[in-house]
Amino acid sequence: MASRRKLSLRENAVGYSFILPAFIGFLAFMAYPLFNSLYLSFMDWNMFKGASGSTFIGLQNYADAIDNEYFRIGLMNNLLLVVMAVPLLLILSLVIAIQLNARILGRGLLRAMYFVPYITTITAAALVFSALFQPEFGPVNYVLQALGVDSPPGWVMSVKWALPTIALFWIWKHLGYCIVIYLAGLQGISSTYYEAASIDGANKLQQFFRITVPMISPTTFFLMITSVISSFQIFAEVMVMTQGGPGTASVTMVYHIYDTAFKQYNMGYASAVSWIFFVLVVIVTMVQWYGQKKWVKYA
Amino acid sequence: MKRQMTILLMIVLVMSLLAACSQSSNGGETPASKGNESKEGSDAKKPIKMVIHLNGIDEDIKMQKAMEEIQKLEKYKHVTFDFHGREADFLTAVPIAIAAGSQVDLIIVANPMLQQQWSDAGTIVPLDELAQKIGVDFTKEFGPYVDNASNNGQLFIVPHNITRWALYYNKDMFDKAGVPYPDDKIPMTWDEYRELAKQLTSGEGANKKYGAFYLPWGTFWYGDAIMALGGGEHFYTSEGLSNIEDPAFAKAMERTFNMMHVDSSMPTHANAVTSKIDPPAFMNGSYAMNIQGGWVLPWAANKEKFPRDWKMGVAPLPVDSGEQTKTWGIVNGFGISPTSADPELALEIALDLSRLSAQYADSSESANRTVAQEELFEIFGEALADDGITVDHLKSVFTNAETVFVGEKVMGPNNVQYEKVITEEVEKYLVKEQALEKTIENIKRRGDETIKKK
Repeated sequence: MASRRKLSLRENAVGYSFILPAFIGFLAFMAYPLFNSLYLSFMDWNMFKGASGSTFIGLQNYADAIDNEYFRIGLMNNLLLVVMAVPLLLILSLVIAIQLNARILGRGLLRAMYFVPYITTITAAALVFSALFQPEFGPVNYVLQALGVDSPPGWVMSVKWALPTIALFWIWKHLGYCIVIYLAGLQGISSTYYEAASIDGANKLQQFFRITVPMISPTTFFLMITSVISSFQIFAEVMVMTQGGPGTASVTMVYHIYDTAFKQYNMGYASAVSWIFFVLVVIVTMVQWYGQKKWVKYA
Repeated sequence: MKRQMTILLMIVLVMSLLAACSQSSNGGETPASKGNESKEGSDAKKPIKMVIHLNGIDEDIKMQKAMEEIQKLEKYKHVTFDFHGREADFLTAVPIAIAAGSQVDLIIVANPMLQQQWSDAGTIVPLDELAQKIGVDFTKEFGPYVDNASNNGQLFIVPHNITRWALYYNKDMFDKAGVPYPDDKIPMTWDEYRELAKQLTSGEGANKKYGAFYLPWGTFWYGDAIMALGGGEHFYTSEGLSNIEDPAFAKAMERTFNMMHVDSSMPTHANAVTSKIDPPAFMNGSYAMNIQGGWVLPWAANKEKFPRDWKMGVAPLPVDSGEQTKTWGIVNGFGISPTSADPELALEIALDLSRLSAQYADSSESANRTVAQEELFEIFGEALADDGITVDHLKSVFTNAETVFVGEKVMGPNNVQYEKVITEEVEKYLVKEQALEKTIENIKRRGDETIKKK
């Protein structure tokens, strides 16, 4: 009995030693910064003087955030981005994945081409995208003018178009990833369902809505959750393409956090905004999580 | 037993983590205080490293010479100099390094707005006590520029360089258009500048040659106004609120807008931002006139890096009215970080760097008044002889004692946020997304709110 306990203890020690490095990493780089930011959110924090030069101000940073026009604009822009970008991304990637799932010539090459933007550095991709959509000399507006559009959009330099342009870029960047995930989901659907539906006289459209869509609903759910979170986190696109402009047209929450934390050194306020933002993302994710019971079908 | 082991392991982990964190967040003990302790201890000449962030100022010939010489001085025999040049994301990376406790002794403070922001935040420390300790008289050392070293009644920087703007022009484009060169001594007005730019503009698309250069910098759309009003402090009314309703601001913005969209004699704001037009782009020969500071001279002299087949001229900056020459600019300098290993030594080094670089001042005057700046423009008089530019000519444009000098940045309460508001609103106007009246109205409303928050 004693030797069995010894063995179990040794096994546990070995087990803990294996997870120890990752656990230390988690504590140092995840848990500590996370809870430290919560602490900072209640402080008027002077990052150059540390705790001795800072004061506890309770919920003032949270109140300031709600009162701040950049916060409100950032939140609204983030919600607009989710509404504009996520449905379009999912629909487009599903349509393309279905095409790529068929036995067409150059399927492998096409898959790779769609995936390239996803693995390209975001800064480089954003610069290329900005050049394509340059309002005065960009090829996109050149083509539009050739097609008879007298006043093509000003894209990133237009108050109306800056956010949609960022959404467009984000969709282009993430399309390849979603296609690959959808392809995996599509390949998991047994052909017998389609054969049986054909025998019963179902056309392609009926097969798509009655078989494909329900069968890949877990994939759609996964992509929806991750895409919504990812679109909430849009930052580098804004940083490279618009810096929040023109005016405040493309300010997002993360850009606002970066601006207040690292340009204005207002760490306490930025931490409060981060926590409000975190709670909002959790709420949105929870709503999606509970909503999935109504439309996600697990085979 | 298993449970006890787990608890023990957890305690060890948490303790070690807390120990590590407490070292970085002790708040009181900085490398500076450690440095002072060791100095007060026994050996004041103990080897020490000084970390100096110059972010591009080191590319200036005068600073290169000063950096070289300071390392040879007997008094700094015990000092190892760790100079840092241009850094990506300098304005965020270095302050964060300071906040994290990394040793930074001297840091270049490149403009007065940054100086205000950094002195308010504690990124740089006040120098009054240190100056008293080492017995340096800032007034004697920097004359009138001591005002530029101060924020909220305290000294914060060791003044280094004074920038002054001028009008640079492409002589070949003037010749081609059959237009006489701008006068060497008598400045043109901004209205004349606009008319001239129209005459000098030619071509279309990729072959377009613009009459005037543009950068998305505040001075390009409010420069005329601060010149007329007398400097960046006039962004505020006598009550301390936004003065943007002064007609001078609308006039300046409208002139820039008209040059972009009515005359097409200047690149549009949208083009400048999306094409990422940078300051040296003037050297590519596509612009007839350019207003910028003395930093253009080294580009013009460096024909390997900026090859050109055209000749350049320099004239006084355009003015709001009259024949009195006027210019704007800033005074930059060295600040001392709270994480300096030895703030007193850092101040001495900053002063010596300012004196040494003044000795070799070439393309712009140095703030230091204790050293004769005999080499000023000498290199460029020689290097730009082919362009017909002489040392005397450069001196008359850049160091004319009669020239009225105004501060080019938004000064006063909450200036960083206030300028952010101005930039955001003017940008919408310059990309034709907002009317001028609405722009002024928005700046006034948002600017007042911002100013009152302080």
